[in-house]
Amino acid sequence: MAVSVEHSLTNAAVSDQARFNFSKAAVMVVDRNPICLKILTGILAGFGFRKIRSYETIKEAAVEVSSCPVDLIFIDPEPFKDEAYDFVRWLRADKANESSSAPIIMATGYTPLRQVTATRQCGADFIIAKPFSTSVVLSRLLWVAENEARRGATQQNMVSATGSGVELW
Amino acid sequence: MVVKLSHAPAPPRGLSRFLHQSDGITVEQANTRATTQLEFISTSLSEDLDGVLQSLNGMIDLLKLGDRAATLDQLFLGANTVFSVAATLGHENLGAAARSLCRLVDTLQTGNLWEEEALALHLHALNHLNPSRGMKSEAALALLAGLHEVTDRIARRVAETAPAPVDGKESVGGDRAILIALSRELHLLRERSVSIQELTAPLLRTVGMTQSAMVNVQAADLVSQTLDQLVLFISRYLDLAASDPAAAVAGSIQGVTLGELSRRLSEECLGAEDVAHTSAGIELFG
Repeated sequence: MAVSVEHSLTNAAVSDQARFNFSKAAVMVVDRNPICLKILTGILAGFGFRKIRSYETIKEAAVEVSSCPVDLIFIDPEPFKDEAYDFVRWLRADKANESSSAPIIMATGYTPLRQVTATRQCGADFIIAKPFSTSVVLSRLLWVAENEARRGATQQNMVSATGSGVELW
Repeated sequence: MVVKLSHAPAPPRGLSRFLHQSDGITVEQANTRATTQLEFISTSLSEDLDGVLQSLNGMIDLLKLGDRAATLDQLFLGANTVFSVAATLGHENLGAAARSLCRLVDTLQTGNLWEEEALALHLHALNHLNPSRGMKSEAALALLAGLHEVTDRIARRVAETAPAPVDGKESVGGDRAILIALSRELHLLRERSVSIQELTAPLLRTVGMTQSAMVNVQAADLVSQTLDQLVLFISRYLDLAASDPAAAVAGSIQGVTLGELSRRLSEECLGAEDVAHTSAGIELFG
């Protein structure tokens, strides 16, 4: 039986009729590619986000996230390589930072295996493969929102669920 | 008197507090509005995309003259941009060609190779697939098939000459090369007649989930995670074989022999990896 991953994730997060209001949520988008920045900020604006801050360097983002808390972070790690993963690790470890536990979604284009592994290990919540549709971005975003409270526990369970150290999500 | 000072609790952060708001919008409304936003900026995006394609086209001459490592980096950035954007604007064939170039560059960088003709072929193809040129669908598909063939051939060559990874940390010629290398490992396992059911059950479950999934752009995630499972599977098997050779007994796994598993992985997963990024809504394995 064919299963729509996208659909099942959406249902797992928020029902089609549930309402959400992201107008007061602060979101940070870090992407060196200005075209991709334009697309993602356009999509997020459509979802109702009004406080969207975009950055083309990790350095700028790191400075900003220390002074202005955010509720969600999107990063394309590809052009930044290890700098992006180090940023996520640093933020997760900096418990004094109000954004330390903010959901982090990696949005990446061509995705070699090593990058998927690095992303999973650095503490990000989700990987979204570009090119993405609006519905895919929204379903992931809602899934992360719905699950952020039990994120740590979920990851532990996921590791032991199959005994393999890797789980689908 | 002791006064206990306490900080006022910080306002809660995170996205969950914005869910279930009566004054909010529904999933359908949000998707509609986002699509409208994209339509609103589509002209500007198309111009940006055209600019990237022009600069890639201008790199054909650099293939002969420029610094090879820098040229590959530049090509990857441009191709990755086109791949990331084209399908969003409805140019799936262009996106698929750009993905093939990404994979080619990744393979060349990993194998420390230089294939000027293959690179030039991809750049010419991207130029022909530029939406402004309006290439017919049949011709575009034939062109894509040729690009994939070229990239596959080079990736196979790299995979055959590179050592198989067992720790999952390094890619040898991209995902495809890893699959080929792991497939070879599975053949070896079959020859040694080892029963490793407890290790392969999660792997098979993941393969099954991948097979039953519908391809959208996210299927790439699933395939990549399948690769992760494979890497762990192989490394765990190697650990077991080293520590407990007596565990090696003949057998099949859930009715699937290792040979069959190997065949499925090398044929079906490789095919899936190719199509995963190309378009939404195409069924992966029927």
